[in-house]
Amino acid sequence: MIKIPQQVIEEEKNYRTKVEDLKKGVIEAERFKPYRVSMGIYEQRDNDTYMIRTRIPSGVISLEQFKKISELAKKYSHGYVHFTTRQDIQFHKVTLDDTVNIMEGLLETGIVTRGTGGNTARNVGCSPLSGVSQDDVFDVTPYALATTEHALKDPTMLNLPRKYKIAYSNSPEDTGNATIADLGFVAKIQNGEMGFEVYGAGGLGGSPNVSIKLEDFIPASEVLYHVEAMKELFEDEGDRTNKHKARIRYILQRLGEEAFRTRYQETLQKIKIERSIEVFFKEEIPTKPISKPEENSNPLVFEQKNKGYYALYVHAENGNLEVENLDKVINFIGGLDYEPSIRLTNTQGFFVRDLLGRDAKRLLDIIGNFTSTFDIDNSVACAGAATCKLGLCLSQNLLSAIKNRFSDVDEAIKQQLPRIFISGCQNSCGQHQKGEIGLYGRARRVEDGLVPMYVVLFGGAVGVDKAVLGTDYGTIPAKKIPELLYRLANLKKASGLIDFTEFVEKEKVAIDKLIEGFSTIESEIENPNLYYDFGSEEKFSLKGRGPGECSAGVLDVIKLDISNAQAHISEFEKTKASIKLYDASVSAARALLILKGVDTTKDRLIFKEFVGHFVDTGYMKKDIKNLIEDLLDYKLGDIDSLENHYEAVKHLIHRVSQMYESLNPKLEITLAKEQEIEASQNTLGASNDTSLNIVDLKGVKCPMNFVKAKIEIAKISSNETIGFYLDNGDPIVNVPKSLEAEGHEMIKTDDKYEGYNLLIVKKK
Amino acid sequence: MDFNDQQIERYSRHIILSEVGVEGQQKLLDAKVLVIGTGGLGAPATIFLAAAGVGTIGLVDADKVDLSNLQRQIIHQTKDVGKLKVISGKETINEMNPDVNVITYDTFANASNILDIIKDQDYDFIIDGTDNFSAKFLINDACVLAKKPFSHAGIIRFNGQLTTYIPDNNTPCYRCIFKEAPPEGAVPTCSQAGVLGVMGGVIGTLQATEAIKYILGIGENLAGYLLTYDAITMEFRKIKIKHNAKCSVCGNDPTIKELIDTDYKPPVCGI
Repeated sequence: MIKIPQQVIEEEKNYRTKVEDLKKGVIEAERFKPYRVSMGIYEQRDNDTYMIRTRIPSGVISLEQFKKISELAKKYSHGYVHFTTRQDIQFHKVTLDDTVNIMEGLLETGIVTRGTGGNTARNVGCSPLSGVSQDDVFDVTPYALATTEHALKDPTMLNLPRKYKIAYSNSPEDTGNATIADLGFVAKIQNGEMGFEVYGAGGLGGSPNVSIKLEDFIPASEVLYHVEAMKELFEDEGDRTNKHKARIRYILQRLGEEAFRTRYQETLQKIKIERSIEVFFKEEIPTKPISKPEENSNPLVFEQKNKGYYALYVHAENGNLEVENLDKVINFIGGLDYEPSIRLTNTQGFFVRDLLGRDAKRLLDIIGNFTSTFDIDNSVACAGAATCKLGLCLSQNLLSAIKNRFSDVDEAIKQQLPRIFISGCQNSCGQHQKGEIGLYGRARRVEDGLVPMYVVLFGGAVGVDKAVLGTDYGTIPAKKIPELLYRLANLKKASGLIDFTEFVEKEKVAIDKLIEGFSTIESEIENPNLYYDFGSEEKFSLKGRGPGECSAGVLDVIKLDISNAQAHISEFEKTKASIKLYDASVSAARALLILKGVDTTKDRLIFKEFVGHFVDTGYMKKDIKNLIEDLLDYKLGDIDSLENHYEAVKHLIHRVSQMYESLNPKLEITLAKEQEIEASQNTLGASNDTSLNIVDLKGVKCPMNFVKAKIEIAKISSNETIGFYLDNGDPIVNVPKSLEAEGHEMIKTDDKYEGYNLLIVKKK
Repeated sequence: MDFNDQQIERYSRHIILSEVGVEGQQKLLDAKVLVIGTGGLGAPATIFLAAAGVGTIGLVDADKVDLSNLQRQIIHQTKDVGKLKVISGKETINEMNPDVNVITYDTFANASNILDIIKDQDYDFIIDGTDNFSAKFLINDACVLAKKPFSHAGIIRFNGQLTTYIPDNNTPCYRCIFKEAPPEGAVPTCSQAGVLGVMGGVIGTLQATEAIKYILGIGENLAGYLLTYDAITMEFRKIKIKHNAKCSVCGNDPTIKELIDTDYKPPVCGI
């Protein structure tokens, strides 16, 4: 178990207050949303129903915690728990009030939800059989747990450009998914020393790629340096303004492999000098006595490396386990006179480990009514369009239909196919790219309407020297998938090949032909079935689909404040009610404070922080303070009207919007400071027009300074003026000439600055 | 106009040009060009279009990369042998310039699909990079009917030629010059005869130049001219050509009003 930092515990406790604020209308839904998501709570398709995601660190869960989860699911979540593909547990279809109850209940047994959604370091992956599997190099679990502890202590890990997924594997087989993560560690012994191979910048989802190897060997004690190095690289290079291209793998794509490695190593070396964050764990001495081995042929039972002990895999269809069944497992474990360990897997199930042979057999009988011994029955499917706002197809219903198709099929056929990984859309919650068979949902429009389809992928794998994304073999209507798989199983049996991927390679021609035959979309009259998804009475449509919540972030909140400010001021223009000017000022002053870590609803504090962060630092001209004083007096009742401040409020909103628009990918304001502009204008004796925009091109070399000047000039209208700071030397010699050659008018060059100049240009 | 820092740097040498500038670069990023055939001509043309930041590029080809292609089809690499050319092309472009959205059509253009492909993204300009007469006539007729500008080109041995068709401009089309495909076997196709690898590079790059200038709306183009290049004598010739009033597709009384498969027989290998 890990130690939860006090700060995180406080944040969890504070959730109730935030929900109450929302209900009272103190905070808006839009503002609540990113907060809620960062607490691991997502809204589902049906309005006002929520999913709450726990953080079970690396899938390590105690019996007591398991009991609590069962109890909470019974009370608040319709008697089901959902096991995820990232070694977590989720509660589905929960009301907002009950999310509070669940969160508080979880906290009693040391489970938190903070950071399980949004732009954070997510649950750290770990091989579920680490420490016990036959191929175990050494137990990596302590390192994985130390990583979670480290991440929870560091608030910046909870405010990254996008999510950050770390994983550990105990052997090159990579059962922890380290070779497709943002940062992955694979256990390795070199010259008798424990350590890791390090992988990075991988990931599924859009533009997926397998990781690149960053280090061939690092001592095990150094893992946190790498966790920090990748985080810093992410913070420095991740694009916060475009959430679709923010993940670490896009940094790799942007920089190229060589530059990425160089940046990574530089960051790593810097951190090694600045900090001291080694972790040491004593090598575990097996405390359990060796027991008598039992005969075992059941595929759900895994013989451990400590002789005579067994791990049993438990899996419910689609990862949805009824509490009654969960309780049977819990009661059985509770009744033993020794303590087995429990580990959640990344395949929507869990292992009960360290069981004696006879007990593994007894537990096998208990789970027999809901866990199948066939790989295909234990396939993985994301939540899909049933509950997820991004989902296209009903992926879980597809899996049920596949299981049905194979239910009374000859066992020799049924055992032909491996576990299938199904996602309801191209986002990879079902990890379709890593499966030997992967499917992901897509919609295709034909003459008679939309058809739910799945792209069929073969040959995906994780692991050292073998990680590869599945290859696209074609797209076929959802309704034809079960039959396709059945025919595929027959084809494989006839081929006599055991390994599925080898079968796909050798029988490619036959498989291509088979898939082609299944890809036809008949008209609705001929085959109406194709136009309905599994388990749906309604014709297939994209109804109910909405934007994902996962990355709702600060930009949305800033935009909300600015648009509120604009709404208030236009309200004032109609009604001339001074309170509207006041409200507009509060919204505008508040908008950017979130970037400074200030989130408050108290007006007085908002104005104070605004002055501290934006006026005293020069971003806004000083006389805005007069407005703020009058605003405060107005609120106290000392002034009746703010009407004569209309222009000042307008200016405030204008500047705040400009600052917002100037945010760079690191969310820094790049707009020139208003006080500097004023100063330069005073010396120029220019007009009182405070809107002169000055672009800072100091330090930008020729010809990029000219290029950037052209970009800025393109944004303004003819006859408008704009200023540029340009360095002495070539820049101030060349840029004006080049701009003049394009027909613009050089108004003035001011060389009173040290080392640079202000060039004012009028657009042609 | 909303360029990020990488884009500003990537396209800086374009933006500096007063004929391109910020607005021109934006036009390129907004533009959609269809390249039919990803071989000797299509490969270099596509590479330069992608490098220039043409935002959407469609690639049409059903062929797979063969080792014998690599002497001139520079968009493919040795590791791509056996891969579909459109996929290999897409991968090369994605690696080079992530701004480009590549749309692949894993098929040969034929009478029944070509108009749909052109309409799929409402392409602004089409590049004929094919290696046989029936495809060239097909592309010509489709572009005339769909009123789309396109660049025709052909290469063989040490020779190359190209022209540009602009609709509604009294521009002669390919059929105005060469009424119909020569009888089978009269002229060897590229796959039967040799070709100097650079020929595709020179002519394909000129095709890309025509596309880019058309998008930017600058300079003169090859509408009304056939440009020929002889690499042995190192001579370029620009021959004036006229619109043919009797042309069966763009003439006053056209007989080709729709595309029919049987009119465009794929080449049959005579050997």
